[in-house]
Amino acid sequence: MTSKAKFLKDNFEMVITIVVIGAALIFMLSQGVRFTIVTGTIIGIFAILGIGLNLVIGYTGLLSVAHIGFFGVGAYTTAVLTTNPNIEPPKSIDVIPSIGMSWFAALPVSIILTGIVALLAGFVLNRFRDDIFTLTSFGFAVIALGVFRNWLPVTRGPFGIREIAKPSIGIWDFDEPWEYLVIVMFFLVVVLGICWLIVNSSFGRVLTAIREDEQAIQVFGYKATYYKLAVWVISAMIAALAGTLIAGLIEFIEPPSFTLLDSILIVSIVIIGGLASLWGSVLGATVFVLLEEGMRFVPGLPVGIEGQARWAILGILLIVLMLFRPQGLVGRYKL
Amino acid sequence: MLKYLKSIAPNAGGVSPNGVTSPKGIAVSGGLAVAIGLLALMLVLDPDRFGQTFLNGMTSASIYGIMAIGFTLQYSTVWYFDLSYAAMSTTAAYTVLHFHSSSSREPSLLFSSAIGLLIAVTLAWTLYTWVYPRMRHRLPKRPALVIGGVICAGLGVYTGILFVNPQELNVYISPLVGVVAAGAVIALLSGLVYPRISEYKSTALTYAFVVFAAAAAIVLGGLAGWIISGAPEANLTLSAILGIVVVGCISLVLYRGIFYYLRRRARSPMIMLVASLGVMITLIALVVIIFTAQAHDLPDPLGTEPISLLGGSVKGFRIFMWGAVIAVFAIVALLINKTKWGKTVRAISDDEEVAMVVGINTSVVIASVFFLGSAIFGFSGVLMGLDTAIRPTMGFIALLKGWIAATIGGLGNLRGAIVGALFLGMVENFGVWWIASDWKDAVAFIVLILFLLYRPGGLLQSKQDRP
Repeated sequence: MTSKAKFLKDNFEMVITIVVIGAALIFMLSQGVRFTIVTGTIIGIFAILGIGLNLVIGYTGLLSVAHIGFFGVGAYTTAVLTTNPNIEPPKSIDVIPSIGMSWFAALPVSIILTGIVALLAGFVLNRFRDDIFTLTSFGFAVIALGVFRNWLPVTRGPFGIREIAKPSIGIWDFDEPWEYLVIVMFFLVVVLGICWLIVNSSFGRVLTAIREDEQAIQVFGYKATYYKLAVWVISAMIAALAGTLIAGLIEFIEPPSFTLLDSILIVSIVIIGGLASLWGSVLGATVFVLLEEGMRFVPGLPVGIEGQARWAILGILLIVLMLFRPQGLVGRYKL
Repeated sequence: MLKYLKSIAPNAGGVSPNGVTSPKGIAVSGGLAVAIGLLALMLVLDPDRFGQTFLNGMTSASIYGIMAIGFTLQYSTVWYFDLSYAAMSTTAAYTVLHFHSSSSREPSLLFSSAIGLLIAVTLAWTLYTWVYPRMRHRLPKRPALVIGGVICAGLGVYTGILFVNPQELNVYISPLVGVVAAGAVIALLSGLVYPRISEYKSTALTYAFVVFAAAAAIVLGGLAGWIISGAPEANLTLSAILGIVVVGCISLVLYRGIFYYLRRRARSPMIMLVASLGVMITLIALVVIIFTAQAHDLPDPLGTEPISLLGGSVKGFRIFMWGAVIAVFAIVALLINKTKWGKTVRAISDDEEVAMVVGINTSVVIASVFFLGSAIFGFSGVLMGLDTAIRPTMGFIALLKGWIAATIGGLGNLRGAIVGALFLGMVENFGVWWIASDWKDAVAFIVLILFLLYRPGGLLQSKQDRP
C-alpha cells in the first residue's frame, strides 16, 4: 500500500469530514459572506456540544439525553452573571440579580458550576445502564427545564434573560460577527485537542473498555464508576462551554430553547455524525445546522415549515441510519 | 389492609422478619409516617383543596394508567422501549381534530390518500398473513387474491373519502356501520338460532330462517346506519374510533416496515430506542406540518357542567375517564390471561425463539401486539385531547409518565401498571401542594429515580426479569 493510500485509509473520517465541510463552505459562501460567518458560528457551537456529548455516547456507551440540561445551566449561569445591570427589569418580577461580570470572567464560573451540577447528577445516574440510563437522563433534562421555568428570581422564568454581555477583553469588544466566529473556532480547536488527548490516553481506552464490557474492565481492577463519573463531568463542562458561547451569541435565552425535543436534536448530532469519532461530531453539527438553513432554499416548500421539515428529515435519517449504518456516517462504534 | 402494606413494605416498622432492626426498614416506615402526616396536615389545612387535588390526581392517574397498560403490553412482549407511541397518542387526537376543526382548513387530497393507502395496505397485510392461510385449501388461489385486493382497495378508497369530507363523517360512515350491524345480526342468528332449527331437518324451516335472518339483518343494519347518519353527536365517538384504528394501522405498518427488520438485525435495545425516537420526531413533525403547532380545542363530549364531589368539582368526562382505565385494564387482562392469543403473547414474552420453535407465528402475534398497544395509546391520546387542549408534543411527556408509572408499579405486571399510575398521579398532585404546579414533571422523575435506586422491582415486585 502506498503511503498516500494508507493515509487516506487511516484518516478516512477526517477526509470525509473535510470534503463535506468544504462542500458546506462552498454552499454557505454562495449565500454571501455574512451568512457564512453566522452559520459557521452556530455550526462551531453545536460541534463543541456534539464533541463533548460524543465522549459520553460514543466512547463510553451511555446514551445521555441530559446534556441539554448542562447546556442550559451553562447558558443560564453566564446570562445571570453578565446581564447588564443598567437594564430596566420587567415590572412583574422585582428581584433581578445584576452582577454584570465580563463574559470571559463568567466562562470559568459557568463551566465549574455545571461541573458540580453534573457531579451531583452523575452520582445518581451512574447507577443505571442502557435504556434505563437514557430514560432517567430525560429526568435530569426535565428537572433542569423546571428550574429554568420556575426559579423566577434568578432565571426570570418564561420571560427569559435579555442583554447578555458579549465577550470583551479590556477595550476590545468582540461584537463583530467575524470576531465571534474567531472565538468559537478557537474554543472548537481547544475542545477538539483536549478530547483528542482524552480518547488517545489510557483514560480513553478504559472508557472504550467500559463501553464494550463493563464487568470485564472491573475484573481488571478499574473502578468503572469513577471513570464514568469523570467523563460525565468533563462532557458536561464542554456542554456548559457551548452554552456560554450560545448565550454570548444570541444575547437572549429563554426556557423553550432547552426542551426535551431539543435534547433529542443534539443527540441526533452525535448519532448522525458518527459514534466514537470526534470528526464525526463536527460533521454531524454541519449537517444538522445546514439542514435547517438549507430548507429555506428547497423550491416548492411552503413558508413556515422549514423547522418541521428538518425534524422530519432528521427522524427519517435516524431510522435509515439505524437500519443500515448503526455507527453513524463516519463512526466506529455500533450503538 | 395491614397485610397489603406488609407486602408492599416488608420491613416496615424497622423490624425485618428475623427480628433484627434494619436501617432500610426504619427509613421506609419513617417515610410512610412523614407522608401520612403531611397528607393529614393538608387535609386539616384545606379540606376542599384536598378533595380537589385528590380528584385531579385520579384524572392524571387514569391517563397514566392507560399509558402504562399499553406500555406494559408492548414492553413485556418485545423488551425494548418504544418512544414512537408518543406520536401515536398525538396522531389519534389530531385525527379527531381533523373531523372537528371548524372548517378553517382545507382537507388535503394528499393527506387523505395517504390515510386511505395506509388502511388498504394494513388490511391487505392482515388478510394475507392471517385470513388467507386458513382458507388456502378451500379456495382457488387467484380468485381469493383478487377478491382480497378488491376489498382492500375499496376500503382504502372509502377511508380516503371519509377523510376528504371531515364534516359529514357520520353520514359517510353510516353504510359501514349498517354493514357491520347486519353482519353481526347474521352471525348472532346463525350461531344461536340456526343450530336449533337444523335439528328438525326441514327444508321449509331453513328457507324461512334464511328469509327471516336476511330481513332482520337488512332492517337492523339499515336502522343502525340511519340512526348514526342522523345523530350529529355520534361524530365524536366515530372519529375517536377512526383515530384509534388509524394509529393502530400506522403502528402495524411501522412494525412490518422498520422494527421487524431492526429486531432481526440487532438485538440491542438502544438501536430500537433511537429508531423509535426517529419515528416519533418524524410523525410529530408531520402532524405539525399538517395541523400547525398551536394548541387546539376539541369539543367537550359530556358537557362542561361540573359535578360536585368531595368538596371539589369534576367534569363528567373525567369520571368517564376513570371508568375507561378500568375497562381498558379489564379488556387487556382478559385478552392476555384468558385467550389463546394471550397465551401466545405470554410465550413470546418468556422466550421468543422457543415460541417460534413450537410453531407460533411470532411476527404476526407481535404485529397484533403493536396494533393493540398503539390503539391503547391512541385511546389515551383521544381522552387527553377531549379533556384538555391538544398540542403536538403532548404525547411525549405523557408517555414518559406512563413509563414511570409502569416502572414504579413493577415492570411487566398489568396490576402494577394500575397501582403505579394511581401512586404517581397522587404523588404528582399532592407533591406540588406547597410549590408551583409546573414542578409536577420534576416530581414524577424524582419519584422514579428514588424507586429505581431503592426499590427497582416496583411497588408490586415484578415477577419477570428482562431476558
